[in-house]
Amino acid sequence: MSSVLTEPLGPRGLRRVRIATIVASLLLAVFIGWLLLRLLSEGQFSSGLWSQFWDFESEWPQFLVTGMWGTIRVAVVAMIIAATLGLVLALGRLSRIAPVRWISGLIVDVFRGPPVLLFIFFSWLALPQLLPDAIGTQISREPLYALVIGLAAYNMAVLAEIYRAGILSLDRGQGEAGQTIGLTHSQNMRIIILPQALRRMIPAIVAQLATLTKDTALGYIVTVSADLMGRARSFAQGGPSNDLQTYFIVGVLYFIIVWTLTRGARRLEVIQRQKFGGGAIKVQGEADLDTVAEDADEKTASAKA
Amino acid sequence: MRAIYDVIVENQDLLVAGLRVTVIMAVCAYLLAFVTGNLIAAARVSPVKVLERFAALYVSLFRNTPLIVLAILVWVGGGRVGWPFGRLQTAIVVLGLYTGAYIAESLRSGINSVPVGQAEAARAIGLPFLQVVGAIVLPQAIRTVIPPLGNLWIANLKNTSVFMVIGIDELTRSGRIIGSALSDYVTAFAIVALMYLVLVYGSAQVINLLERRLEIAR
Repeated sequence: MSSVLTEPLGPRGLRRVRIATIVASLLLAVFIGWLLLRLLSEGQFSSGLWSQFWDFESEWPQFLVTGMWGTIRVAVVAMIIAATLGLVLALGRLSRIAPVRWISGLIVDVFRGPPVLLFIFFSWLALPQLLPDAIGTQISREPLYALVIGLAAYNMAVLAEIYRAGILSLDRGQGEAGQTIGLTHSQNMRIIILPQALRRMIPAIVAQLATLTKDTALGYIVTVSADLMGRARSFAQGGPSNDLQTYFIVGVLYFIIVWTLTRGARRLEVIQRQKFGGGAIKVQGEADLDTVAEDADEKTASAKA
Repeated sequence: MRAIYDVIVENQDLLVAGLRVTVIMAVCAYLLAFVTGNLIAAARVSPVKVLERFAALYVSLFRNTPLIVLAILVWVGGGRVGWPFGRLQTAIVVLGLYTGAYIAESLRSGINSVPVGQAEAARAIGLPFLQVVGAIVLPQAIRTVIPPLGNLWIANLKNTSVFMVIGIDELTRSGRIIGSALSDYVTAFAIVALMYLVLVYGSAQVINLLERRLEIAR
């Protein structure tokens, strides 16, 4: 096993590794043991606090299942809206008409700046004041809408950057070849560029879906009741005080959903690399996204020069 | 809708207080995250299997669980196991550990981006381990890692807003309070959004500068 930092170890190195293994295991065991003991001595493991979750006669498991379904639905709907608007914005940023480019760029930058939570709040409290009463009261009565709108508003800007990066990652020859055979700009986009670019973006889009799913939990702050967090709140308030257990289980459920998505994204990326050789643009989180966006900026700049 | 300027002047105390808490939280959490990230990254690339597995588990746990769930778990559960910290400290610790997981991943990919031949050459001329790491690998790794670290700072800054859930009076919450006092949420949130934009794009400028300063011709 030779990496940047280590080469195959000799007998002395192996002995050191063995000692380190024992010490590290001991430390970890002590820490985890201490934590469990504390929780045990506070009576947090008493079966009364946990049994409801496995008792399928009670309403709890059903509650959690409907909550999970609610979370998935919010994520999917917000994602579809964000993906559609994001595509429009991305095409706007690459448009040949300068004002369209500027306005799309401004929208993307403004919506990508502040935290998602601010958009969710804005949709919940400020949007009803802006919109006509009929729609406004709908939103303030059902914060689920606000959650979807807020998530969609933020993520459309994020996805616009992913799309743009995907489109610019294509070899310029592709677009030029399209022009040469006499395709118009929109035909070129539709027939040549977008199909290839979208394929490259799929892993990044799935990774963004994972982030979005994580962010649906923010609905808790605006009192959404139909998703996992909402269900958890109603558990924690009613019944015996097993809030810690409830949020732990909810955390595990979120982990399962999000982990599956992140794993899927990585898998897709590997498949892409094997099938088409390189290609897939890498976005695992916020950090990578900004890098991708900067790369895209540089490409635009160099294309102009 | 009232003139934005008047609203800012009338509520400047609340806005400044919120901004202060947000910035303090972001800075402290990021420092903690940097330390955590280094430790976890070191464990992740170490030849000791237990540490490597633990670090992988840590990263996976923190990256795949919503921050708000972590905040509630620690705040609620911490109260039960003798957690010694108050609200702000709790927020800083949770956010620091969360961002630390992302930093660890960035550092690891940074270290792995250094060609193996570099370290092999260093070992071949007889440098001891610490010098291989300190003089050859890290100076190269740090340069590839600065852009992602900068972006993580921005993500970290934005994530501070989540901690209003455990009762921290940060910027987003200031916006909400002002909005309800004026019964004009549009103006209040617009002001807060503007402040976030200044923070985020201001940071981005500084990061770009840093990046250019440290750039090496490859």
